[in-house]
Order: sequence, then C-alpha cells, then structure tokens
Amino acid sequence: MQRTLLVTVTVMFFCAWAPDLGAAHGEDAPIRIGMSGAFSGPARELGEGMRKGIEAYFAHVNKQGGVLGRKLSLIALDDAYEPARTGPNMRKLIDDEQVFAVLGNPGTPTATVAVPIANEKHVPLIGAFTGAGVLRKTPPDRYVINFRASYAQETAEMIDGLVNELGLRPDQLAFFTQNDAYGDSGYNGAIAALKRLGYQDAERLPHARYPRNTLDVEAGLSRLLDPSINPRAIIMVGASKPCAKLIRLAKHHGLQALFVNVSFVLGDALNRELGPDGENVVVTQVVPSYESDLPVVKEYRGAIDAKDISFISLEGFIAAKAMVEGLRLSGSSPTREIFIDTLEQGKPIDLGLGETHPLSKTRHQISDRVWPTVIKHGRFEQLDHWSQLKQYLRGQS
Amino acid sequence: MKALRERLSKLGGNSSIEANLKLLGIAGLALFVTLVASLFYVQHGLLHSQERLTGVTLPIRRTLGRLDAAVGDAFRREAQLSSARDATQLKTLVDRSAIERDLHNAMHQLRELWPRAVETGADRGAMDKLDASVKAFLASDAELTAALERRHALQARFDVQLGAVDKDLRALIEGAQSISGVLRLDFIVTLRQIHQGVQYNGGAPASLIKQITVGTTRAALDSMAELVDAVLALGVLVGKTGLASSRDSLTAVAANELAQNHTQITRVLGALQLHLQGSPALERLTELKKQYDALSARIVDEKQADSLLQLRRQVLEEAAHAVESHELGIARAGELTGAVEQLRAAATTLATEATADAVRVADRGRVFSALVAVIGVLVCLFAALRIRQSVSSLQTHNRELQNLKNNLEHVNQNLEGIVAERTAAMLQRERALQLVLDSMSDGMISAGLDGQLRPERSKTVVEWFGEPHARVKVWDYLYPIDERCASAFRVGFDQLVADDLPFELCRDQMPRAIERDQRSFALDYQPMREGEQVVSVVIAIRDVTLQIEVERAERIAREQQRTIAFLLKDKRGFARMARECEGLVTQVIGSDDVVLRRRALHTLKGNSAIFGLITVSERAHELETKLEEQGELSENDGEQLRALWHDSMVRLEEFVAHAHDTYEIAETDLEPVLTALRHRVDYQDILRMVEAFRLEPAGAALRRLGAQARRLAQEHGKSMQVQVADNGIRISPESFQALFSAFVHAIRNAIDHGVETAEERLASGKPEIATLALRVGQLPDHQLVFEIADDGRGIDWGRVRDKARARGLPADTSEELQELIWSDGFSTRDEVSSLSGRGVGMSALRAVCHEMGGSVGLHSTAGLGTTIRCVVSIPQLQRMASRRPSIRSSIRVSRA
Repeated sequence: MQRTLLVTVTVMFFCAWAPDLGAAHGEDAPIRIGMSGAFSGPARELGEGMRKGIEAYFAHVNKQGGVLGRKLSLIALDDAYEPARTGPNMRKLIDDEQVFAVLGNPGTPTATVAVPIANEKHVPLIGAFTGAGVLRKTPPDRYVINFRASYAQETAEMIDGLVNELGLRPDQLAFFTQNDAYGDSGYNGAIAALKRLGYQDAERLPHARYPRNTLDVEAGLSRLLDPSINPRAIIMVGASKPCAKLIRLAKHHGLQALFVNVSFVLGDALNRELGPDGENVVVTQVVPSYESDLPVVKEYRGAIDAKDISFISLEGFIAAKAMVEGLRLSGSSPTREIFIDTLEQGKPIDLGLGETHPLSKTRHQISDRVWPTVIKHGRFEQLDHWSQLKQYLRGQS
Repeated sequence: MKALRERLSKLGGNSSIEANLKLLGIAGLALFVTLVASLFYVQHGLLHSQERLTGVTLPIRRTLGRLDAAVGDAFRREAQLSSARDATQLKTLVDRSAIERDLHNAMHQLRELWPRAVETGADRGAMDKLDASVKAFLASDAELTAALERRHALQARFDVQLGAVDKDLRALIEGAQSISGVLRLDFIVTLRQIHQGVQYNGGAPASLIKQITVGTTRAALDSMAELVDAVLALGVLVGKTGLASSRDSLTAVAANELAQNHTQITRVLGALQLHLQGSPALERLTELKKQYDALSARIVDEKQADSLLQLRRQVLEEAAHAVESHELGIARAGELTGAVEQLRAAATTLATEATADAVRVADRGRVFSALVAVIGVLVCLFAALRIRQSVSSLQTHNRELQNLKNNLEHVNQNLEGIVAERTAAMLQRERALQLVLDSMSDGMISAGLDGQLRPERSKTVVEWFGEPHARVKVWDYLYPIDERCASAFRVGFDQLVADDLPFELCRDQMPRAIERDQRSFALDYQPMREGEQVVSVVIAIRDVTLQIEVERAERIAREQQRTIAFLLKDKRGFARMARECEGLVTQVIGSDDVVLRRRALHTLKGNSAIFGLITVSERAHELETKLEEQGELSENDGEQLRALWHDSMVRLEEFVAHAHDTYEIAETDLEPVLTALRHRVDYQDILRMVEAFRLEPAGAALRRLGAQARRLAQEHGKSMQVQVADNGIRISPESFQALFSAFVHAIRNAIDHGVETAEERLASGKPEIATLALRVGQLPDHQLVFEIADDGRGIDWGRVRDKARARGLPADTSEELQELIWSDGFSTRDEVSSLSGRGVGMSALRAVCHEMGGSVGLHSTAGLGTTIRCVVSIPQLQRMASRRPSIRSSIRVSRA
C-alpha cells in the first residue's frame, strides 16, 4: 500500500513537471528522442552508424503511421566521443529539447557521464552502444535500459567456444587488450569464464596491452611473440586500428594464431583496415549478421540504404525497435515512469530475433546473445559452431 | 424653640481659629516657593551634566566602538587575504570599500564631536593622531592587496605553464615508450629467429646472436631504458620546482639537478640517433627530440619570461613582498588601536567630570531642602498649639447643642407611638380575615369591577392556580393560556358587573366549570354589595375532579352490566361482533380512503351500540363528525379509539373467552340426528346433518338483529315489534357476518326514518305498535334472499328528488332515485343523529351484497312502509351442509 502510494505520488510528481509524450509539444507533435554521439573525430563511424540505424527504423515506423498515432523524431547532438561534451549535450537534450528518452549513445567514457545525468533527471537512457559494466550495475539503474550483451559476456562466449567447442587448452590462449576500463572489462570477463571452466591459473596467461588512442602495439606484440610461449588464439579487446596493426604485424612475423575480437572493434572497420590479412579473423557480434534471415534483419535490410548496412547501424536499428516496442506496451499516454514500470513488469518484447525478451527490476538488458562471425574472402560469415575454425587451425599448423 | 435659638447665638467667637489658619497658610506658601526654587536649581545642574554625558561623551564612545569594530574587520580581512589560496578566492576579498566606508564614517562623526569635547577640556592632538593612523593603515592595506593580487596572478600563470609542461612530459614518456616498444619487438623477433634456428636448423646464425649480445639492438635497448628513466626523473624535478618554497632552494634545483638531467637526456638522445640509423623508429626519435627541446625551453630557459623557473621565482618574490606588507599593516593597525585607546581615555575622563558635577549639585540641593523643612516644622508646631485652644472651646458649645437636640427627639417619639398602635390593630384584623380564608377547603377569590384580582383570596386557590401577579385580571388568572376562553370570560364578567341586568341572570351565562392541570373545578359567583351597588364579585371555586371521576366509573359499570347482559344472551354473536369491530377499528386507523373510513366508523358505531358499548359508539360518532367536518382524522384520534376499544374488551375478556369453541345445539336439532342413527340412515346423510351443527340457524342471527332493533326503537322512544321467519335455513355465521352488520344500517334507517311515533301512527290509522319483519328464504341456484320490511311512513320520493336537484344530481326516473338512496353520502335527513342520517349505511349494505355476489333492491310506498330485499349466493362451503330440508322431511316422515 505504502509503496503503491509512493509510486503514485512519484508518478504524479513527474507528470506535473516532466514532459511525457504529449505535455510539452501537444498531442500531435512528434515524440522527441535524443542522442549524443560522435559525429566528428576518429570515432565518428560509431555515431553515424548508430544514427543511421535509428533514423532508418524511425522512418520505417513513421511511414506506418508512427507509434501511438505520433511520429518519432531524433535529435542527435555531436560530442566527438569526448565525455566533456556529453554532459552539456545530455542536459540540452533533456532540459531544452524535452526529449522523452535518450537512445543509442555510443561509447563507454561518454556513458560514464551520461548515466548519472539520466538517473538524476529520470530520463530513460536506452540501448547505449557499449558493453561496459558502468551501464550494468547490480541492481540495475532504474533509467538505464541496455540492448546488447556485455563485453564480459562476449569474451566469456569466446572462451566457451575456443575451449569447449574448438578444443583448445586454456594455456594456448593469450590476450591483447587496450589499457583502460574497456580492455579490463573484456579481460576480466574472460578470466572469470576460464575460472568457471576450472582453470585457476588464468591470470598467468600472456596478456599484452597497448595505450589507448595510440598505435603503439609493438611492445604488446613482443610479449605475444616471445619464443617461450606459443599461443593458438589471441583474445583481443581493442579498437580497430591498433588491432588491425597488431594482426598484420603478428602475421608478418609468423605468429600462427586465431585472432578473436569483441564487437566494439567494429568488424567492418577492422575488415577494411586489414584487407587480405583479415582472412579468418574472428569477431563476435552482439547483433546477428546483416545477411541473416531473422525477421528483424529482413526488416532492417528493407528499411536502410544499402551503403549504410553495417553491424553498427543494425544495432541502432534494433535498439530503436526495442524502445518503440516498449512504448507500444506502455498504454496510450505513457510517461517516462510508466514506460520504465511497464518494461520492468516483464511484458515480453518481441524484436524479431527469434525469441522474446522480458525485463524486470533486476534485469535491464534485453539481449544476452553473442553471434561469432569470421571474415572469409572479405565478408563476415556467421559461425554456427566454433569447431568450424578447426580447419583453419589445422591449415596453420 | 425660642430658648434654643438664644443658646445657639451665644456660641459664636471662632475668630481666633481663622487667624491661626491664615498664619499657617502664609507660612506654608513661603515654604513651598522656597522648595520649588531649590528644585529648579538642582534640576538645572543635573541637566547640564546629563547633556555633557549624552551629547558628547556617549556618542564619542559609541563612535569609538564602531571604529574598533571596523579596525577588527580590517584585521580579519587581511588575515583572510594572506591565507587566500588562489586568485578567485582573493577576488572575493579584494573589495575593501565596506571597511573604508566604516572607517571614514566613524572618523567623520568623531571629527564633528571632538570640538565639543575639546571645549570641555579634551586633548586636541589625540584626534589628529588618530586621523594620521587611519590614513597610514589604509595605505598599507592597499599595498598588501596589490602585492597579493600580483602574486596570485603570477601563481595562476605558473599553474597554467605547469599544466602544459605536464602534458608535454606525458607525451614525451609515451613517445619514449613507443620507441621502446619498437626496439623490444625487434629484440623479440631476433630472439624468435634464433629460437627457430635452434629448433629447426640445428643452430642460429652468429650474426643474429652478435646483434643481440653486443650489437646495436642491445645498445639501443639500454639507451632507451636510460632515456625513459631520465624523462621520468625530469617529471619529478618539475614537481620540485612547483614545491620550492624559497628562491634559494629554487636556484639549487635549477642549477644542479635540472642541468644534470638536461645533459643526460641530450646525451642519450644523441646515442639513440646513432643506434637507430635505418630503423623505422628513427623518424619517431627525431620527433621526440624536437618535443624535448621545446619542453626543456619551457622549463628552464631564463630568457623566456614565461618559463617555469622564471615564473616560480617571481611568485616567490611577490609572496615575500606580501608578507612584508602584511607585517607593516599589522604595525599600522597597532598604532591605530593605540590612537583609539587614547581617545577613549579622554572620553572617559570627560564622563567622570560630568558625573562629579552632578553629584555636587545634588548635595547642595539636599542641604538646602533640609533647612527649609526644619523651619516649616517649627511654624506648624506654633500654629497647631493655637488651633488646639480654639477647638476645646468649640467642643463645649457642641455639648450644649446635643442637649437641645435630645429634648426635641423626646417630643417626636410620643407622636409616633400613638400611630404605631393603631396600625397594629388594623393589621391584626386583616390577618384574622386571611386566616379564615386560608382555612377554607374550597377556594375563593374576589375581583373588583374592573376584573382586577383583590388581595383577599383563599390559600387553596393559590395552590391550584399558582400565585397571581400583581394587578392581574381575574380572566387572565383563570385562563392564562387560552385567550379565547379568557376573552369570553371577560365579556361575561363585564356584563355581570354592569348592573343593567339582574346579577343572577348574568351569572348563568358565566362558565361554571374549568379544567386545570387535569383537574376539574366548579365555579360559582357571588356579588359583594355596598348598599345596592355591586362593588366586587366573589368567585367560589370547588375541586370536582373526584366527583367527575366517580360519575364516569359509574357510567362504565352501568354500560358493562348492559353489555354483559347482551353477551350472556348471545355469546357467539358477541364474539363475532367483537372480531368484526376489531377489524373496523384497524380499518379506521389504517385506511387512507375516506369513504372506507367513514363506512368503518359508521358500522362500528352501529355494532357497538347493539351490544351496549355506548362509550365506543359515542366516540365513533364523534370521530365520524370530525371526519366529515375536517376531512381527515389525526393519528391520535385513531389511537384513542383503539385504546377505548381495547379497554372495553379487556373488561369483558373473561366473559367472551371460549365463545368460539362452543356450538349451541338445540334439542330439536339433536333429535333428528338421533332418530337417523337409530334408523341407520345412510352415513353420508348423517354426516351432513352433523356438519350442519356447525351452521347456525339463520333465525338466531335474525332474532339477534330483532333484539337490537327493539332496543334501538326503545331508545328512540318508539314502540316496535319484530317478526322473524327463517324457514329452517341454517347459515355459516362467519360468511354472513358482514351482511348482518350491514343490515343494522337498514334497521337503523327503518327506525329513524321509517317508523313513526305512536301518536303519528294512531293519527294515520295504523296500529300503535310498529312491525319490523326480518325474513330469509332460499331461491334456486344456491341463493338466499333476506328481507327487511317495516310498516312505517315509507320514503318521501319528492323530498329525495329535491335534495338531489339541490346538489345537481340526476333524479328524474325511479331508477335514478333508487340509485341515489344507495349511493354514498346521500341522506334525506338534515340532521345527523346517533342512529343514522349520514347516508353511509345504505351504500355499505349494497357494497356487502355485491361482494357476496348478490344484489339488493328496495321497494317503498309512501305511508305503507319500506321493504329492502337482498339476494346473495350461498357460499360454496356451505352448500353441502345446507341441504337440510330434504333430510328434515325424511325424518318428519319417519316420525309420522
């Protein structure tokens, strides 16, 4: 009773000042959704990809009459991947633009700034393009809703695939990570997965690092090329350019191993960067291949320009769809609070990924799925089973 | 009296008192004037001192207090200024206009006040000194502020430069590490090649081994390690520069450690350049060298104003300057405080002097006042002695006057005694009279001609009617609430005392009874005359409550006796009547329909009268009248009727009990059954005969009606005989009860309207005694016919027609006239009697007949009488049993 009252009072309070879908701009005005991302600078591919995906889905929905009878519009502000600019952007979106939610912000360092603001202003922060732990607290932050699997889940999937399916011994694994929180979260996820498999010496495995925002991979590579070790698979948690440089140099110096990257490496960029050296490089994805036959992917291919097809824009597309499905479940005039409450009630959300995704108070992440892919002849092929890589390993040895 | 006057004239001679009083007055006036003058003097002196205190000394001290506070504020601000950490913090403190304003205001006030203090003896120089101190203090404060501002500005610049240096250092370290990574990769790759050579080719090439043991790879790696160390050391030295707290320590760092570090880095970079010839890292190294040169200039270049060392040096200089300024400020502030203290001392001196002046003046005033007081006391003593002599002579005169007064009083007292004696005798007589009145058991009051109640009245009246108000009129006293009765009484009373008519005649018009508090009183009036003239009226009041109660009880007893007589004669009839009346009472109370109510009341009236329940009958009559006049009855009326009925029934209960359980069977009825049994007649026949016992001979019911009719006739002073013919028909009394009740109306009508008095009958040639015939007969188709026939005067159809026309009803054909007789509320009578006349009875009879599935008819011939004929169906239940004539005939046959 008291809790209900509290919720009621809270809802009333927010109804009083917080713009719901209609308060600020009238019943027929579009639903305004905000985004702060890198649209300039080295990481611009991230922001542009997410925006293209989101806008494609919004256009797709608007063409069908919108959601709850209202059109969707995206207000995207550029933060050039600099956390210092993310804060002002978030405040501007919430206070001036009166957006209903913030959707698809890319990047971990920017997220560290965006999350406290979303919590303070009680504005949902949905589908950020990062698998970092700062968005995945236990219990979850009320206003943070994730779409994708975490980096830890990705590296855990790698360990599972490499050891259980491909049959490698744990001591045949090595790591190459960026020396920051991003690299740490991927590395820690893998170590935890190894320990779960019963391999207690996981920390002793070769671990090469490189400084963020540099291409100085040589020191790390020298660690991996050390004649005293012979790794068969390198688990890589880094950015596309340094990773590409490492793979190229390692192959050049004759390191015969499987290079396994997490999704944040941006598979398409890595592929471009490596060219012919990219053959057999593995990238785990948190969205299915854009050549998949899943309903949502078909929908995506029908809605987006062929030149904009990428894993990033596909994730933007699905994240946008997740938000819209949430809105549809939230009744005729949802407020932010009703939106979150509805999601937490666990109504299953069907995104067309072949399964439904119920959320709860303790679960704010829609998908746990990780799709491993491998570059074959310059294209990504989905790996149905890690043992498919055996042939490559054999060919090497 | 003459003697008295003479003695008074001797008592003059009080002129000596006057003279003494005059002397006393003059002395007092002189003293008063002297005292006032001394008071003025003292007050003037005190006021002067007061003015010096409040007008000069106190304001000066207040202002000095403010000055102190302002100086305190300035101190506090300086302390805050000195401890300010950066320019922003300083900025909030720099503004000193508030303190300057406070100081200037205080000084301005002091400058205005001081001349007056100087007039009263203060030091002129103290003020000038203070002025100078304030100026000096403000100047030193300004200097401190400026020094601090400069210092913090420099510090800010230094911090910016330090930040830039720090960033460059980080880049330098990253660059060094990057080159180091490249070199390490070379090293590892070489190792790998050696390892592969050893593993697969049985040995490694010597050139490779040489390269990593004594070759360039080894040298480059070593130099690189040294470079990284030196760059890290440079970072530490930069930190030291920022922390250096004196110019000397700063110089030491610059001259020794920084210089050595520079030499080392330059050397290592040169060596590396040699080692890396041809390596991809050479380009990076060249860049690194450029970076270092720029950074080095930023840190140590003495020529650059913005170099880190230069800035730090200036900061330290300014800091030292600020400390000096602060110390100077503290000294100046000390001087200022001293000057203030000096002024305060001067002000205190002034205050002390003013107070001393005031004390002197007050002392003088006290001495002078005491002197004047002593003189006053002496003069008073002298005058008092003189006055005392005069007073003793006055006392002598007074005593003589007292004697004279006593004589006069004695004469007066004799007169008063005589008057009192006579009054007492009169009062005694009055009391005696009142005693007589009070001892009477009957009440008595008397009223004057204007109706005003006179005082003589008996005590019982007061007990009954309460204590009368003064001048109350007799009618208001007797009827305090009922204004109508009061005014009627007043009219009668006026007539009574008017003397126009004989008193006794008027007395008969006066009310003889009065109800009060549920008691009844009888009133009687007697005139009181003086000569022939009536002067007042005595009203005797007797409590007759008990008497009336007794009369009522007697009436009830008589009624009960009569009722019991009826009851004993016809128990079942009475019981049925009682049941029906009970229903009627309920109908009167419960029904909303006025017509039904009227019928119920009417029937109740008749039924109860038949059995001698006169009280109920009378009450029903009253209610009927009321219903007619007012169109409705109150709830209370109904309840009273029910209570009355209930009381009557309770009294008769023991006589009525068991009436229903008993069947009366006559010998003549039983005999045929016995005969049938003896002859073993068919069982079904015997059953019918016995079942018929539950029926009643119709003759019994008719005879009952007949008895009622006779009694009613008797009550109305008419003699009448009743003939009954039942033709051996038995009926179920319950089924026909309503019909017989309705017959009562017809019988009433017959007696009231139809039957003439004996004289009338004789005059018209009829037998003296009238005849009422009650007959019942059987018709085919299970129908019975009842007839009520009288040989009275018959209905006057002409009169019926007139009445109907007067009321606008159709009355032309004989059917229409008949219809009128049967319709509700139509009666030919102009007056309503207890018997009939309301036009209700006939309609009730018709209603009952219709209810029983029958019809009713009337045949009347003027002068010969009226016959009413009712045809009704035999109720289904009764048909089997009433087939008796056949049985009877069979028995008769057997008897014969």
